[in-house]
Order: sequence, then C-alpha cells, then structure tokens
Amino acid sequence: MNPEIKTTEYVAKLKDIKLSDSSRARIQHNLHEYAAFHSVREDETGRFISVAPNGVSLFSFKFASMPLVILIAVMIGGATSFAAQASMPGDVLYPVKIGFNENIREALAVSVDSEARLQAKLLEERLEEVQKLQAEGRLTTELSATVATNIAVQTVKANTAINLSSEPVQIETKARIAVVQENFLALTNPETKLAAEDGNATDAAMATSIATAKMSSDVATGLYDINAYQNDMTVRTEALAKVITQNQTELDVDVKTDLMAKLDAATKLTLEASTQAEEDARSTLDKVALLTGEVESKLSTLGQVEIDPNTGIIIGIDFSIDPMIIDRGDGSGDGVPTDPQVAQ
Amino acid sequence: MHDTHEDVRVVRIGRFMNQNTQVTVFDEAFAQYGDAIFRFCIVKVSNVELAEDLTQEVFMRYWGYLKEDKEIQNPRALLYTIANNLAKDWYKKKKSDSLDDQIALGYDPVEKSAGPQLLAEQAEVIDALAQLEENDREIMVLRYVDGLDPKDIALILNESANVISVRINRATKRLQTILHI
Repeated sequence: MNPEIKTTEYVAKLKDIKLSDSSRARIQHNLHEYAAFHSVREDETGRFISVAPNGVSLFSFKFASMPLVILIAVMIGGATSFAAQASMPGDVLYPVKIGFNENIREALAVSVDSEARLQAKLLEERLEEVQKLQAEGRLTTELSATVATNIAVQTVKANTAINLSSEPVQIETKARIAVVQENFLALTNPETKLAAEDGNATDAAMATSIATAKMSSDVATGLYDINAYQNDMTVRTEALAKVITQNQTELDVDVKTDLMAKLDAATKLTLEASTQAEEDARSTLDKVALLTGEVESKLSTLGQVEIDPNTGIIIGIDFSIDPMIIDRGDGSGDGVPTDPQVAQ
Repeated sequence: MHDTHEDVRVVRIGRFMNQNTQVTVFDEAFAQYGDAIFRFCIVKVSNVELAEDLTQEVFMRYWGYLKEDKEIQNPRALLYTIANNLAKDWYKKKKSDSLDDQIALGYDPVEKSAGPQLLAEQAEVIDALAQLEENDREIMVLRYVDGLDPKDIALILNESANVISVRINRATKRLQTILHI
C-alpha cells in the first residue's frame, strides 16, 4: 500500500469527530443568546422616521449635535434646580423648589414609609423657611399668607402620606408634624392677633391655616375631640364629593367611579363611627381620613387644587393647570381663596 | 424605464436584512461548519472542552460580520481564518503563562489527553499530529480531515496554492516518519 495513502487515511479517522449533542445544543443556545444581545444594526434607511419633506424640521439638524444640546439642557436645568433648593418664599426660584425639586423627590420616594418621612421632612423645611424669614425680618404680610398656605398644604400632604405608612413610621412622623405645628403656632401668634384686629384678608388666611395646623396637630397627638373629628370627616367627604360632581365632565369615567366609591365607603365608615365607642370610632375615622386622603392625593395630581384655608379641605380644582408647574411661591395666593367672612 | 426601476426595488428588498434573516444564516453556518471547526480546534488545542469553547468563540466572531452585513464571499474560509487566529492567540497566551503559575493552578503539562469523548483511535491520531509542527498540523487537518482543496487552504492561510501544495507534501512525509509507515 502506498504509505502516502495510508497516512492520509490515518489522519482521516478524525473525520468522525463531531460535537456531542449536548455540547452542540449548548453552543447553539449560547450563540442565539449572543446574537440576540448583539443584534443586527438595521439598514440605515430603516432607521429614519419619515418626516415632513419640506422646510426646516426638528430632525434636520445633525444628530451628532444632539448629545451636546441635551448636555447643555441638563446642565442648565441642574444648575437651576440646585440654585432653587436654597431659595426662600418670595424668591424668583422658589416656585422651582416647590413645584419641581420636591415633586422629583416625591417621585423618587418609593415606599409608603419613605414617602411619609419625606412629607414630614418637607413640612419641617417649610417651617425652617418661616423661621429663617422671620429671623431675617423678611416675613412681610404678603409672605405670611404664602407660608401659611404652604404649611397648610404640606400638612395635608404629610397627613395623607402618614396614614398610608406603617405604624412605627406613623408614630415617628406624627410626632415630627406635631413639633412643627407647635413651633409654627408659637412663631405666628402675634400675627394671629393682627389678623383678628384688622380683618386683613391675607392675615385671615394665616390665622385660619394656623387653626388647621392646630387641628392636625391635635389629631396627630390624639387630643382632637372625637365629635369634631367625625364632623370634620363628614365635611371633608362631602366637600370632595361636591368637587368631583362639579368637575365630572373633566374627569375620566373610571377615575371618577373609583373616587366616588372611595367616598361612599368613607361616608359609610363615618356613620359607623357614630355608633362606636370612642376608641373604635377614632380608628374608624382614621380609615376615613385614609380614604379621603387617597382621593385628595389623586385630585391633586390631576390639576391645581383649591384648598379652603379654614379647613384644609379641597374645595375646587382647576384642570387647566398642570400640578407639576404650580406656582405656589409667588405670594399671589392664586390657589387659595381668601374669604374674610369665614375668617371672622 | 419602468421595468428597470422595479428591478432595482426588488434587489433592494432582496438585500434587506434583519435580525431574523441573519440568525437563519447564522444557524445554517453552524449546522454546516460547526463540526469541521470543532475538529480544527481540537487538533490545535488537544482538548475537547477548550475546543468547544473556541468553536463557540469562532461563531460569535462570525456573527460580528453577519450583524454588520459585511459581504462574505466564502463563509467556510472566513470561519477557518477566525479559528486559526484564535488558536494562535491561545498559543501565545499559553506560552506567556509561566510554568510555575500553571503548576500552581494544578495544570499538568504532561497530560495531553484529548478527553473521554474521543475514541482511542482518534486520540491516537491527535497525539501523533501533536508531534508535528503547528503549521504542518493545520495543513494536514484542512487537507485530509476537512477535505479542502489546496486553493481553499491557500485562501485561509493567506498563501499561494503552490506553497500550500508543497507544504502538504512535506507534512505528509513528516507524519509518515512519526508513524513509522
């Protein structure tokens, strides 16, 4: 036999070497995953969304400049936001702090407990602002209305969040709110007198929001009269039902049904509470507060809510204003109706 | 004129590729050449598991060409070229690893077993081939195991067909000496 042929036959024994079935399956699987992960770059023509053929369009400038544009936007936005964080009521950037920075912080607070803590923290920040303004002698009559409204709004938000949180956090945050309310009361007592004397509209708002603050403080510490609590819940539920009925054309049907169902449940619970012993009634009313709180938070995401400074209850809603860009710091008291008659 | 325009359109659609069509091409390539590449790798590295890993790596690199829609005239030649380059990298890495490190890692430099999945006969051939120079070994596998023409081998190894023919002859002679035929 030709040794050359023998050699080639010898080497050709390797022809039978194949991947084992398991290895083949494994490699194939890995390759598919690899291909899916590093997927095909689609044809250039397929990557462009057809845009208006004539004239200048948003897409007409070079895509290469996009990252730069975005970077500049982020830098400017970030700087504004950062500067706004240090602003005080009456400052140009204060609306950014209240309307933008804090909304972002709220969006980032994931759990109900961290939400409750955050809302309590924001309330404390509101108080610090007032204290600082007063220390610097900048607490004008006009500004006092604004800060009072801020405190009232934030108290409602904090109480809503706290009702949803776990018990240990509830105790902790309620105590924090109570401290804020007491400090705020002490701080603004002279203003209250002033309001009662001259019946000034903005000072009246201040006075009434102090009353609200006192009430929240009492609810938090369990000192609030049970009958007043029940009455307050009834008024709150009715007011919310009225707001929803008035604005039902603006509301999504599903949202409206959901909110009304919550209010119905709240009404039933309030009635139930009137037949219960005080302790049970208190916990039933806490549930009502929770339900109405949910409705309030939902409404406040839909438009700018109008809050009665006497009671802290939502009495109206403006769907034309995005709550993300509410200007609560300009001192104009836009979202806060001030009714001297109620105040007196 | 109209017809010409239509033709251009058809060609464009025919050229259009997406993830699905490319994955199909990819699958076909693996089904057709997977074993051959594995054999090539096993002769290069004398270890089944390593050869499997290398085979997978070869096809992953091949996907890199497919996904970019690069023109591939000869998929088989491309696959062997990738495998050859990867094996070269592996040799370099192996050489640069110090012997002390290898012993520390429990690597036995004497052990050359191709693994239990191979038949004794096949293991014997691999061991025999392992005694050849690397250049001789790859040329023997390409010629007699995968049955490639000198022309195709020339393409893979980036040499002229004549040089390849000469090298095949010399390698065959050297293997005969090793086998005492």
